[in-house]
Amino acid sequence: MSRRCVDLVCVSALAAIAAGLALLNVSSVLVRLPFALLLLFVLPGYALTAAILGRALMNLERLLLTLGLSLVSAILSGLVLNWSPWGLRAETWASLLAIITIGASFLAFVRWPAMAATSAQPLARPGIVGSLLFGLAAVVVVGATILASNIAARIPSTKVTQLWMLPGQGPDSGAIQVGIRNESSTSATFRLQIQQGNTILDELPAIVISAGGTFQTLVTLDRIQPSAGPIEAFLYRADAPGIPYRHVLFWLTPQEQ
Amino acid sequence: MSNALGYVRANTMSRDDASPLAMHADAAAVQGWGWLPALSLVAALGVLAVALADNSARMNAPMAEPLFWIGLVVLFAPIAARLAMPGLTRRESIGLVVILGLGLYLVKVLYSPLGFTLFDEFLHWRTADDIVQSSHLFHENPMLPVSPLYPGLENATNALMSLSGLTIFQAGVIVLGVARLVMVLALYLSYEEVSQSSRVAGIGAALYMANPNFLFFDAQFAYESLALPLTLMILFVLARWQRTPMGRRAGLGLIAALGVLAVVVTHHVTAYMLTAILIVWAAIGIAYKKRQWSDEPSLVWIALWAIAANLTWLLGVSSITIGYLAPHVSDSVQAMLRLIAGEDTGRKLFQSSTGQASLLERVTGLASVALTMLGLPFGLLQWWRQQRDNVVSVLLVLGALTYPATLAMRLTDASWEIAARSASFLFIGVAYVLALAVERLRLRSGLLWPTRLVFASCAAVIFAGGVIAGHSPWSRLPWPFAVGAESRSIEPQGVAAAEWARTFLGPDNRMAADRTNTSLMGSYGEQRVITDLVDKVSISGIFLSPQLDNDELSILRQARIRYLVVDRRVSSALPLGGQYYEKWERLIVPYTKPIDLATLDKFVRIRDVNRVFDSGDITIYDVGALAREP
Repeated sequence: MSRRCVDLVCVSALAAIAAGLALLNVSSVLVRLPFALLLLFVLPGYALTAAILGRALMNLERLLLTLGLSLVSAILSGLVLNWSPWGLRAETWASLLAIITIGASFLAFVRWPAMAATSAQPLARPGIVGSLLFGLAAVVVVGATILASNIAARIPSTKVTQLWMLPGQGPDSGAIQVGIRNESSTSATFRLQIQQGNTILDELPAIVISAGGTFQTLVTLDRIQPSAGPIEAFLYRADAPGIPYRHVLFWLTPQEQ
Repeated sequence: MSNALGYVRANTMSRDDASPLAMHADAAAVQGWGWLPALSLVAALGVLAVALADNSARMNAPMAEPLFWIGLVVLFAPIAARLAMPGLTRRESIGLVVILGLGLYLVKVLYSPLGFTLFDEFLHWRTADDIVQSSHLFHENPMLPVSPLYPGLENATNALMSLSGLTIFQAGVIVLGVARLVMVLALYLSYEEVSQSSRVAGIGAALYMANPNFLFFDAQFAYESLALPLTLMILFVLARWQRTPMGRRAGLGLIAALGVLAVVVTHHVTAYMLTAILIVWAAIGIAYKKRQWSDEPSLVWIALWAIAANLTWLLGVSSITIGYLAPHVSDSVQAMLRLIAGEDTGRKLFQSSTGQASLLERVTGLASVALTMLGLPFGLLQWWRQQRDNVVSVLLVLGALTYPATLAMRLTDASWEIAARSASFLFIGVAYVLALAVERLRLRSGLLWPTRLVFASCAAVIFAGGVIAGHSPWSRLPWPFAVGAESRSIEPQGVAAAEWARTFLGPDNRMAADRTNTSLMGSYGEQRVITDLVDKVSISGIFLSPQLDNDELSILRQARIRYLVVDRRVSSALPLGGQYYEKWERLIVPYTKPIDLATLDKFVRIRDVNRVFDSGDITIYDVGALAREP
């Protein structure tokens, strides 16, 4: 293999590996992400730039066209995939982007066989102090991002508890489903009272629901008077037992009766 | 080996030389890192200050606002000052511009680091989610019907999601980060290509970032944020194409043509602006050639290509775009005519629903515009002396000259939005001409340190003015929940209610809600939300009328509404953003005080209306029985 096309071989190999990972359906995001970033933002653009303009480019122009043409490839590939019978899926994205990369790399080699990837500006290192400052800057930015994310995650505006009442589905179609979800960060105890008019149909005095947990119960319709108004569910918190905390209601239609 | 881009750029360095646009070979100057490492750290500290400001705002601490401004100034001013200093290397200049561009993108990311919160982002989230669910494009999006017809951003996001397993939010943030990098690189290279000066390129790119849309609007998950960087890349490629020898142009032409296609399928307005730019550019080229002022090749072919691509897409795929954009344009023109005729009192500047902006903000905003207007003549003079035979620079100057006209458009409510949105495009020219003005100043005064200090201060004021013009004070930081306040109304309870709806009601139920919950139910909830844009009905009356009368019942039936989402917090305050439900609701309810809670709770007293969900502030009513014809 000619040393002059080593970059194109590397690009094609990376595209094949990235496509392989997607086709094998590797579940780890940490494994897939670096290859996905390469396959989407770098490899097609690099290969297309090489095929169209050759490889003896300045660093900055090459970087711009590599990223820009990669984005263009993704945008236009989406249309192609949409008009294919398989649509936009991991496998089809991986296959098409890998085909573009490998095809363009081959074309680049055929069009510019004698041209090696060169840079008119060899990269100089920033030195120890410079590297240290760059490193410190990166640490500060990562720290700032983590800080903002943590605080944003920790400040919910309200402690949310959801109460709902819906007609039962499937095997429960002859009943009414009542549900509670505790969205707060601690477990909570509730009392649930289900009634029609002044008649209490059901009462659950101490429902303990963990943080993020859900409780559901069914109300059968055999004790219900169709003309006695809606079925209502009242939820009370253990620390304020006399004050309705949540309230839902449901009118029976002739079909449900 | 030569190629289209291969002429040696190692000497594209302009230092403190006698002729600013001349180039000097100086390998050390080209390759040195200069102040870049130190200024990277300073910029990072600016980002940290903004992160702390965001956190303070989340906790409603008053120090948030000063911290935010300190962070922005620390991020922007030192880099702007350095870009105007002598001894700047090309690498350093590029590095500083990239750090500034990405640093300002981080400001937007840190504003909402866990999910999208800006209004437009939910519109595109829905399109992206529909593609994930169906593996195909062009599904109906009731929140923004044209969004699925321009799926460029969603395509790239879907590709990253599918290949990596990331969420829409995570993938979107990365895609837009890459787009931002493309934008600053393309901007720098375009300016450098036109001016042949890395100093002008660096200063121009930094000043472009002072446009009001750069910080938030063009960094949000929306189609312009991707289309604009690609447009700038095309402009650079074409500028280079014009100066490339005949036999080597084909490749650059192909890249530009592919880029145009990508922009056409990504964003309507950007595609039309790009086409307009190409037409004007071609026309200038023809005129210059006729007068023998220039021998650069004509761009007629790419202008025709852009026209053909736009027409094909418009007629074949996205014909509804005309109906979507036309009212904005006609309203704007009519408002301007009314203002000129004295029939309209116009829009009060620096006025939002919370009252007038602070004196400092007003002064900074006006100073920003004044400095920009003051700088333009100097830049134009420099252009006339040095570059008037340069076709691309004429195009940039025309853009800059259009800017004052858009200031007049800011004086009416109807034309304000067009003026605001056009800044992303016009500032390409404005920033370039201002950079030429700085160059002229440098030539005349040598840009000694007091002058540099003045430049850095002026640049910071222009930048701050852009931030002030781009976002209301109440929406620049993630303060706690407020009613009808766009991103500040997005909070966990609303998101949880939308997720409940998707899980327990299933997707695509016809649902009406206030503006915030419409966004949430239409995105996280995957519901078929009712909007005036698609359904041609006004839902405000259903919520704002004290009784559900025949008019409201008729709307329920006409729109076949199954569920109503009532956010009881709506009764706690007037909307910061100016509307609870729809912009014309003020005709129903004058905003002297918040809506009466009994008005919102009226549904609980109506027979056959089921109150199916209650999370304290948010209730969902099943009004299917009312929506059925009697």
